[in-house]
Amino acid sequence: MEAFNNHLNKQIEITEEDRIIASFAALAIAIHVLESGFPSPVPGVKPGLANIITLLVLFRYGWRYAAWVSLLRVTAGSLLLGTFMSPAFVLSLSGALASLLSMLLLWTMVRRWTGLAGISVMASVSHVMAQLLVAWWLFIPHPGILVLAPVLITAGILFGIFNAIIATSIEKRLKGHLV
Amino acid sequence: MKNGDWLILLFCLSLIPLSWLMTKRQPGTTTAIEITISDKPAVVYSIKVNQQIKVTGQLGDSVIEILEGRVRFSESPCSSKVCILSGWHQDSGDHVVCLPNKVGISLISQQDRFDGINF
Repeated sequence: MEAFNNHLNKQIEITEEDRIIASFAALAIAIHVLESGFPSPVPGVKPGLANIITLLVLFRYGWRYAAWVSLLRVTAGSLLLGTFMSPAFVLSLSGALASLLSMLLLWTMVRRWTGLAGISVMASVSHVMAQLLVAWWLFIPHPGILVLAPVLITAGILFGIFNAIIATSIEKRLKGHLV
Repeated sequence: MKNGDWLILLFCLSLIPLSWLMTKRQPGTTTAIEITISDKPAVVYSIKVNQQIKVTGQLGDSVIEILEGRVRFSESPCSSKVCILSGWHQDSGDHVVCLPNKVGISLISQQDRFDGINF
């Protein structure tokens, strides 16, 4: 009995940080999965709405939280969609890592001069470029794939701005609320 | 929008023409064409020999004409005739495909290719 009690006492402590990360990650995963159900007019072009959550978390809690939310979303999202460890997952992960890296750089180095818009556009463009390079390098080593670059970068900028507008309006409404 | 946002936007916008210029194909000299029918392995023809090649695709016979280093579809059983209307092609790296008849032509350049690698 005593051993059992000891075991109970040794449970992992759930911190406030864990709660925040988990709830935002859940939100991002839901958006990620819903978005994957929508057909896209051009293959490879999608709005990446889940990054709105990453942006909000970045601005409210800092880049460590944002990294957790983004990576949890990619991993759990792929488990739900059944693409875990598939080429689609590799592409998704490389895109997420690239956009996280660019967000981290902007956030830590030039935060004073940039707002949501700049970070969002930079994140989505680096997401697109990383995916393109990985696709070219790992899956289709044909220069023809790079012809997609201008199209994808244009879409990346447009959706980057779009996401920033949504994130800004959410941020305005959230002011004063939440933790 | 802060100043940095505009700067980032400008930088990303400049990537569009840049990536377009970088990926623009440099047309090389075509030395041969590859004709692919359905899923069968491609057959290579020299572009230097003027000839008319009749191939049988999904719908019927397509005629591919090679003339003075250029290639075109001259006859096709498909209804849209997109393949014929696309005209003559001479740049290496180009592809002409008649999707209805499942006949594809790839213009290839065999220069600078290894013909054997030893370890």
